[in-house]
Amino acid sequence: MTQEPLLEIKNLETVFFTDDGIIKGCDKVSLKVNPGETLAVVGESGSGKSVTAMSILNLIPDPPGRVMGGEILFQGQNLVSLRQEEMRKIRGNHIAMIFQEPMTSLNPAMTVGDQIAESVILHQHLGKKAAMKKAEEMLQLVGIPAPTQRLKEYPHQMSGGMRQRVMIAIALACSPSLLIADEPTSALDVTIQSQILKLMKKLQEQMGMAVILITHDMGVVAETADKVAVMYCGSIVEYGESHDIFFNSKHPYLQGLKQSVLSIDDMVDELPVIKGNIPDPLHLPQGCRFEPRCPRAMDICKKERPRPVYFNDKHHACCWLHGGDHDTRS
Amino acid sequence: MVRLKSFYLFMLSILLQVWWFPMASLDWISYGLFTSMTLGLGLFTIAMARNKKRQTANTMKGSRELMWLRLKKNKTAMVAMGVLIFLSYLTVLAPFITPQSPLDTDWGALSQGISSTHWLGTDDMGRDIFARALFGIRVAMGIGVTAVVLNTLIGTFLGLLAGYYGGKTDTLIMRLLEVWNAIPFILLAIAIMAALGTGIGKLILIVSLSNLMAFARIIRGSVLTVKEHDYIAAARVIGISDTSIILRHVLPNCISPILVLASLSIGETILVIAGLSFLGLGIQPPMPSLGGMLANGQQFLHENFLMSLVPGVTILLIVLSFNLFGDGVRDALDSRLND
Amino acid sequence: MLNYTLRRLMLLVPLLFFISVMIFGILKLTPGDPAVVLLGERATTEALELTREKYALNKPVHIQYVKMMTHLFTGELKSIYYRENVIMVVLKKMKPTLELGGAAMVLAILVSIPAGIISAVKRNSFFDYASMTTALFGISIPVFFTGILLIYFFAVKMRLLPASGYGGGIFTMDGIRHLIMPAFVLSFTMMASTTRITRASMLDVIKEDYIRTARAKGVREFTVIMVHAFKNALMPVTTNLGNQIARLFAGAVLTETVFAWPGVGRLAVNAIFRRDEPLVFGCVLILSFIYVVVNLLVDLFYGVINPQIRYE
Repeated sequence: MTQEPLLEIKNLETVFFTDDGIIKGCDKVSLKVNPGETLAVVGESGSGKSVTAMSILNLIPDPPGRVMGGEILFQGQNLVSLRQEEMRKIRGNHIAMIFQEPMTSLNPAMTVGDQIAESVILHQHLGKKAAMKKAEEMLQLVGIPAPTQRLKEYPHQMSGGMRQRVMIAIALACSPSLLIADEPTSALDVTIQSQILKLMKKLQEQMGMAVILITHDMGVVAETADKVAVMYCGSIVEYGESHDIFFNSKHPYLQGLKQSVLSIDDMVDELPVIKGNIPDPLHLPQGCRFEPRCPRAMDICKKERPRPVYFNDKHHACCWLHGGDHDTRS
Repeated sequence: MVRLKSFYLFMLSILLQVWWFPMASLDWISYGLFTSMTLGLGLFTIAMARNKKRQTANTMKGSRELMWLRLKKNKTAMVAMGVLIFLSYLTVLAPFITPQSPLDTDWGALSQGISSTHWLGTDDMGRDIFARALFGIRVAMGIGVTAVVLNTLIGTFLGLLAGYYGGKTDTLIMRLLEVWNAIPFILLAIAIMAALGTGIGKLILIVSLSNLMAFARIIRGSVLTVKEHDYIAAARVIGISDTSIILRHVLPNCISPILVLASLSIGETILVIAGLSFLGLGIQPPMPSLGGMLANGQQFLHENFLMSLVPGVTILLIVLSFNLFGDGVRDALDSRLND
Repeated sequence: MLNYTLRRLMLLVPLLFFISVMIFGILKLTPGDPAVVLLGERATTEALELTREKYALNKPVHIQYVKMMTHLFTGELKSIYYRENVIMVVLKKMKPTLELGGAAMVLAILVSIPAGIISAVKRNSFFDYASMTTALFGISIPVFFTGILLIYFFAVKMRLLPASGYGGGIFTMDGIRHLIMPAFVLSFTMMASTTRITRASMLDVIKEDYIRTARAKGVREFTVIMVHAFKNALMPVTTNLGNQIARLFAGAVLTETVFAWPGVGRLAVNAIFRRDEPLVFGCVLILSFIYVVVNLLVDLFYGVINPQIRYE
């Protein structure tokens, strides 16, 4: 299967210059997304998932942050080297994004209709009327009842779930080929969460777009992802197809992450957790960044950072545990 | 704690200045003030130095210390504070700095320029402009700070009452304040002056009633949030009196907004007092006031520009320093700005 | 919105009532015989007796209040100094004051809002530092000192503009020449604080999630700032406008004094010195009413720009 990837990130480095020092938000992140497939990016908060996503769209607030190295190839075009004006034509048009906080991600001073129509007018050069009609169709599509009236309403008149549907409508209004969803359901009630996920799945199939789903919820990953990238402290520690990640995981961090979300019918007395916290990004460990929390840490883990070890075509992990057994292909 | 107490002592000694009006014969009061201010400032510095040593050992800091640390980092605010301290010393030491009296007229030297006897010249009546400006600073800062302190106390009291008791008390206080606030302050001042006449006491009274709404509203808001906490209910259950709850549990939690608002409003208050004095409604001659000096100076704009320039620049310097310091306090206390 | 407007309008009536009661109450604090206060010290005994009868000064306070108000509006309340009905005296001086205040307000808004937006967008740039420093001076310098400085440089030294006085209306060349300095002086403080507030609220809004959403949609940066951000930043700026206008009143009194501008502010201050109590009452009351009405307009504008109020 040699498919031309829709998006390919190579060695992306995004750096934040803070008063206290330099923080690497993304440290040599590489990943691929094929057309139509779903890639889940998993990790604790602060692991660099959102930074990666924002880097793709060049939305990192500068200052303090900046993309310092690497390539982001989208349909063969390197997004890192694009000028602001060219980038603007891709945002919302070919790549769209949904954010975590539906309560604050919509402009309180604009009607929902205007907010959806805005990107349609901008990218598809439709007139105001046609764009509003398109907005109405989009509201219908994301399952909002009485779209004609809702069009003229303001965000504060809607519930959280409803607003996230509007966010999806905004994102999909120009039929992008890639949708980045940054924790789209974490701020919502559990029942609404599954509704939104189902809606996204349905629309993805309808429109044939690829999705990068950023989440810390392994349950969501299991439901939706084709491939999974696990991030820790700004780098990808394990990457592979969903099946491999769930049934053949290699990295102790991922193993710990999976254990901590055991389903209730496993009936354990005490939920296993990964001990400790994410290290201070200003003072990262010299060797493997997971070493201080790793139950299976070895001497070498303290000294040197592990390089990716490939288990098959797509499945790889960065861990010294597997360093001797398999040859690296890179 | 020493640090705070010495700071209060220092502030108190500045406050005391207002009760010593420019009578150059009372030099011993000046001396007393100087001693207490130096003592206060000295203790303050020692306590700060000691505090610095402690910091390295102890990383857990109280919110007040944290605020102080942030404020110390703000260079402009520190410079402004330095200027204010310098000005306070200057005014207290005024009789020792210049032999000239702010009141005595030198008929041989009317409306003169800069000279060695009269450092910044003399006004139309031969009075020394430098001496008058020094005493003007004293009066402006003294009355300004006193008025803001009173304003803060009254506003806080009303806000506490409204927020803590709620219901009818709340409605009554807030409605009254709304009406009070619906009349521009200058008009209230004019009405009160028209009814009662002018004078220092009345001036302080009027200015200390100027900004009540802002204080009361902020305090009421904080009290309402604090009241939600369980420990207030717990305190009530074990039978602690209302006064005690307010003083021990509610008030300490509202300190930050009070401090910010108070330090931000000193500058404006001084401007208001200077403005009223300029109109002839504030500090009355012969007592030197910066606003009054400017009003006088405007009449002699053609002959002697120093008469306007000196008091004008002086007010600007004082208010600018208070505003910079107030901005610093706000930035240090408002955690929202520090993320 | 209709609901909101009606509610505001209905609040106007009790507010105006209480304001007049409060001002009446303050003036009642005057020590001495109110009849003497009303007529001046040279009044004859018969005249005093007549006045007591006319203003019900020998009756309870609330009746006195009603009498005072009816006399004010029927024109029977006369200024001691001008010997003319108080309302007429005030209205004659109203035009210059409104011109001055209006020009200052328009100027302040026209300068401060763009300056605040640019400062926020180009944060830490030269423009930001320059405008923030100017604004800091603007809120720290006394209105009358700005006025005196301008008079000194532009009237005394360079002889470009008239030092003081009223030139006769905003639509005459001379009127404008006379208006330039006072209007600038009066607007400077408001300009300064509005610039600071605009900048601060723009900085707050730019951090919001919905600005990121707008950028992610591919909206032009100019549109992001001017439409998405500014629409929201305008709300705190508007809320603060009421305070600004109150300060404008204080500034107007001072500016009118510095520039010998024949307006209501100076009229009121002079009335104090002339012990013209009825005129003080009239000036303060009418100016307060104007302030309340202007504030109402600001509130209504706030309702227009804030959809949470519009769709209550």
